[in-house]
Amino acid sequence: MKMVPMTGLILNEHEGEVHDAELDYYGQRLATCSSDKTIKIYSINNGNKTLLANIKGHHGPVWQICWSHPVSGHLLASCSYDKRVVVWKESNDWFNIFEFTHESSVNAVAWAPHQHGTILASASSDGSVGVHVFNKEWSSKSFSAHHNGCNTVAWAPYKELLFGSDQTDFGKKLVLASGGCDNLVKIWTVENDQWVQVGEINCHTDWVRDVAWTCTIGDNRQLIASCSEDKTVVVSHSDDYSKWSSVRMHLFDSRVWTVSWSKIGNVLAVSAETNKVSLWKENTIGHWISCSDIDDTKGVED
Amino acid sequence: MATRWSSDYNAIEIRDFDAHRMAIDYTGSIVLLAGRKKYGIVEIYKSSNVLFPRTCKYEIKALEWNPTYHNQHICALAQSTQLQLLSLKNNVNLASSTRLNTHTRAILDVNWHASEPNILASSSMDSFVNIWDIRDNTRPALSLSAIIPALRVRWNHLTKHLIATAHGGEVKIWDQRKAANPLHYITAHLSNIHCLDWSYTNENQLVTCSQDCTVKFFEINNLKKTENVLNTVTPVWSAKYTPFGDGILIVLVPPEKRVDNNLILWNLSSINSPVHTFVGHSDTILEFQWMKNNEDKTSEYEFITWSKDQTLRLWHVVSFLQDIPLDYIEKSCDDNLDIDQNAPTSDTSNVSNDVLNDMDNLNFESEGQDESFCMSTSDDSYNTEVGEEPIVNLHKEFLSLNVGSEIFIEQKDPDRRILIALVKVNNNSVTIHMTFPLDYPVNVEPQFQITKSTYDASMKNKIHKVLYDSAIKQVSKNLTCVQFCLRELVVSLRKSRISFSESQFSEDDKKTYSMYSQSPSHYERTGTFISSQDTCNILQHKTMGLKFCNNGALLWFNSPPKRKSDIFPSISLQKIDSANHTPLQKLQPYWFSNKNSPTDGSGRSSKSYRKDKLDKPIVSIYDVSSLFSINKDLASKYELDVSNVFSTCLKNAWITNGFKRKDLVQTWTLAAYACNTKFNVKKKVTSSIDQINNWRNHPFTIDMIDSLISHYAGHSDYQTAALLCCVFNPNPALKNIEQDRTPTPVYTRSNSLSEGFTFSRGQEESTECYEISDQGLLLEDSDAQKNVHYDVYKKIYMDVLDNLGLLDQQTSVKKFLKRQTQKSSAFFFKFIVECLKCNDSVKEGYCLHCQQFSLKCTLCNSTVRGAAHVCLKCGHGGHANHLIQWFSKESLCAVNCGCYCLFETMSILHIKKYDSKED
Repeated sequence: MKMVPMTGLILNEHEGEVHDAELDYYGQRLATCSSDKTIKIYSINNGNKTLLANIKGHHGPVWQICWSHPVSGHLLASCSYDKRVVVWKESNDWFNIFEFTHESSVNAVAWAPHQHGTILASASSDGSVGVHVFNKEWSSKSFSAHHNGCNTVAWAPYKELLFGSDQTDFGKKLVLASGGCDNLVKIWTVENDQWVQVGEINCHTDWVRDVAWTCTIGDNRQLIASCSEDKTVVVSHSDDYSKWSSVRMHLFDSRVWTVSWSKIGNVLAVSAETNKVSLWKENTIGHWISCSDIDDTKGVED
Repeated sequence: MATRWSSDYNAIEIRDFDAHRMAIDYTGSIVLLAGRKKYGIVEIYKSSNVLFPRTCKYEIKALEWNPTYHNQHICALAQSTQLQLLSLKNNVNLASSTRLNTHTRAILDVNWHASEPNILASSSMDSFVNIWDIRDNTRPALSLSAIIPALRVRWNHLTKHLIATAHGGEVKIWDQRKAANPLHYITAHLSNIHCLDWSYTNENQLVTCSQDCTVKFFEINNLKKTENVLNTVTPVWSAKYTPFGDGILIVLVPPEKRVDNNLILWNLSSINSPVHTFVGHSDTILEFQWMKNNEDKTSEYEFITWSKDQTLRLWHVVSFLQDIPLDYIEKSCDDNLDIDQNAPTSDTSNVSNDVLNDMDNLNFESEGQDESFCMSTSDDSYNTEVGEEPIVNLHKEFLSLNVGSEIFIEQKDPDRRILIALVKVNNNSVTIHMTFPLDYPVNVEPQFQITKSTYDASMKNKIHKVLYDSAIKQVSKNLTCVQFCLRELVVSLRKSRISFSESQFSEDDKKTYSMYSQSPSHYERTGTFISSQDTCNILQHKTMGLKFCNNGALLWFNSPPKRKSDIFPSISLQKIDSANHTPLQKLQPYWFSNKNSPTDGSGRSSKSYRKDKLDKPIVSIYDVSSLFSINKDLASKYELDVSNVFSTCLKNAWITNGFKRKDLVQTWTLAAYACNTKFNVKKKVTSSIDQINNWRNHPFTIDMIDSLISHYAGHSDYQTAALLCCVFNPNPALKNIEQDRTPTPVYTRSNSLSEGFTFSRGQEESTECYEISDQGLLLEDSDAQKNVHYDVYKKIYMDVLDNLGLLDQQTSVKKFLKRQTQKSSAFFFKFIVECLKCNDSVKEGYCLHCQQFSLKCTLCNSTVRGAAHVCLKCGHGGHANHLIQWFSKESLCAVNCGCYCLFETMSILHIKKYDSKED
């Protein structure tokens, strides 16, 4: 059985490097953001792409974008070197419906699980994490997370049902993880309207570049994958949000840029600086094994 | 304890002069002072001064003498928006020669280029940094646009293209050849940067000092390393590298006036304590500058300071301070008293980490006040960086070699001047034998010999050329080259598989530059080609990534690709679900699969074809559905008819057979056997013979289904698990709903409109079916724990279906949820039909009161039984098929009421739908 990917696109339109790309919830639209200060939205199907929109409005390179769940109306959040977090909404054209300014470049944005409502988190080089809540109107709160810069944020997945636990709101709490230049991953939750740190993963020896959060089905295990410039990927798990035990998944040969969990099956996609991409899966005895390889020698062979 | 004394040998006092800016010229003999009311020239060696009154109301924000011999008479002076060039005549007269007016707001800083006599940079509140060629004073040669105005601007002392600007707490590094965006963006400090300076010895090092009481050191090629930090007790006003050795001289903002107006000298190889404190001024030191030029190289270095106490002081740095040995400092710190000048000298450029750690957080006293200077030595990067100053000594160079993982130093013998290195890249290795002539590295390159190699002859020549070219590049600047050469080689070898000729250093600098600018790993390289990672927030922002999308696709983006083969990495996947091991599959991007030139030649043949696209960012989306057991096509085909479990299972088995999923065929067949009620009912006589027919009553059957479900769930095949759950454990509530659903116009559900209202199952089922299905229902509701699990599987499957856009299927699964969420049950509204005559609500389409069918078709005028459609606005409607025909041509209601039925109904439903989503 030969599998063919859906599309391979060359983005001729961008003038600079692409820093992030994401498909919307239904996989129909692709948003990309670039150093050329623009965000472009394409409609994709069967290897064809059509440029739907070219969003200008940032004054600096756009680092990351994030689609919201359709329940919140397919909003697009973006963050940029110009210190701003912007939420865009489409109605004929794309309009900026919310803006928040950090004190330094904003490195990451992430929407909370839609069950919580329309909530956006942003991580900035000024060390703070901002949480922006839409409830009739936007309100923002920011707290200092990593003293010399915060690189990434990830939300805990929403879990409606719970097995054999007395904490009824366990899976429904607003919890987020942030990674920063102090080599730590910190876990935060809301208590009495304040964001407080409830956990910490201290397994990296260099800056944390990306954090991804998932949970396993059938029990309460929370899984956080974090990657760092120390060339490692660490997978940490916890049954509550406070005590984390970590396993170093693999030592790569270069800095690791991104980690991403698959929606089902807990497969981890990792990309490292030397263009190395790989997929990982935990086997039954808790070891992480690679389930993919780039075929290096036969790059263009069929 | 660091040494401290007043070593100023010349102090010139100028009374009643409020100057706040000072600049010293190229010769080191003429100082220009500028204040609010006066400005004037002081000749140091003659101790004479000439003062001129100023009439301009604006302060002089910045002034600087040209640091080159040719234009040594020119001084740049900035006041308000105006940049003036003054030229000095007869050492006394200042004549304004040129005015450069382009800035629209006040100028903040000016800086002359270190080597080009005509180049000047100025920064202004208008957020632009202009670079001027003073021969053309009409407009700037170049304008660097930043968001925040630059408080400080400094040219690199060594590389002519680099310029650093300080914006608040951030530093940007620009390459004037590629001025559109900064090369690097460093979030350096929390508050304003007061001073910025480049190293005199390493073109990549820079120091910043700030209001936040820190001095930070950066290596622009290696920004990810935590920079070294010098913590001070008060804000640092000024920090400048020493032109000798590796030191900095800093001026602190004194805590109180008239206390501690000292300059502190640090040796960067042992940054825990200062080397020397220069004491003398009685008020805040406003400015200090190194005397630019001493003809006599052997003499001591001198600098000049201007302070609020209205004295100019000239200091010299005695030679032993210039290359202060480490042992001396260490000892002086430990003993805290003794100054042992006879301590043996050691190699300052290679400080062992232990020493640094030992000395970490050492406090020392200064001037009777507790000033704790501590230095965070979080990593050893600094030492190697320090070692990058020109090392004439081969010993030192070998010791400070810092090579990557691809390079193995097999032998290094500084005495015989030999180094043997093994370079391994992409399964190829090459051994390089280097010999160093005596004059190396002063314009003499080492000899390279390739002793062992897995490359062919032409490749060897190319390797040699790379080594030779990069060596020449370095030694022509009298820099050491081993590390540089080896790294260059690794970079080119990495590219070699694609096309070596491209990776060579072309004579055309620009081409090389643009090419390197595209390689993400370019960061590792040292040398003059700095990565043009456009803007770098210390973080080198990722330009490639891999992420799973919601719909299970794998999205890969890269910009621009480093290697052609990486344009689309082909990913070979191993099925994750170990339950059904399918062989390795290789994913080829769609884009490639279109190409007709296969295998070996394609890399090369496609080269020209793609040439123009190579530097463009690329996004590729892989269909990795083979990784996961949830299949979209299966999902759309699967039957979910609980009215007849047996045939549903058989149908599903047949469907899976069509997808060549033999494992699933087996499962569904097994499931069918487990509930073959129909079979049982029909062939009661034979059933006793056939063992299989009795499975339904077998005590283990329930367990079998249960274990099937947990097996598939365990292998994250939630599709199969959820469907089994649904089929064998349907929701009792569902039965009621279905029974209610008699074909009456009471519930008019229009298929055309609504994801939410679709009933996918056939309406023709009789109640008998439910009876049968009740018999086929195997799993019991009693086990709450299990039900929770089953619901989770269903929910996950629903979620996936939602992502895949299979809304019909999602809705049908949703109905099987045991615990219907409140939301889903809450928004479900029904239309009540009222009798037109008596206004009673009508059940079953028939008004008992008036004995009439209430809905008559507006088109055929007969009673409607079965599918009906009613306009929500005007209430007219009728047989669905009639109305479909009508509205395919018309837009107005069939009755002459003037209602645009379709439009009105749509708009009403649309609002409803929208509201329901909002809450």
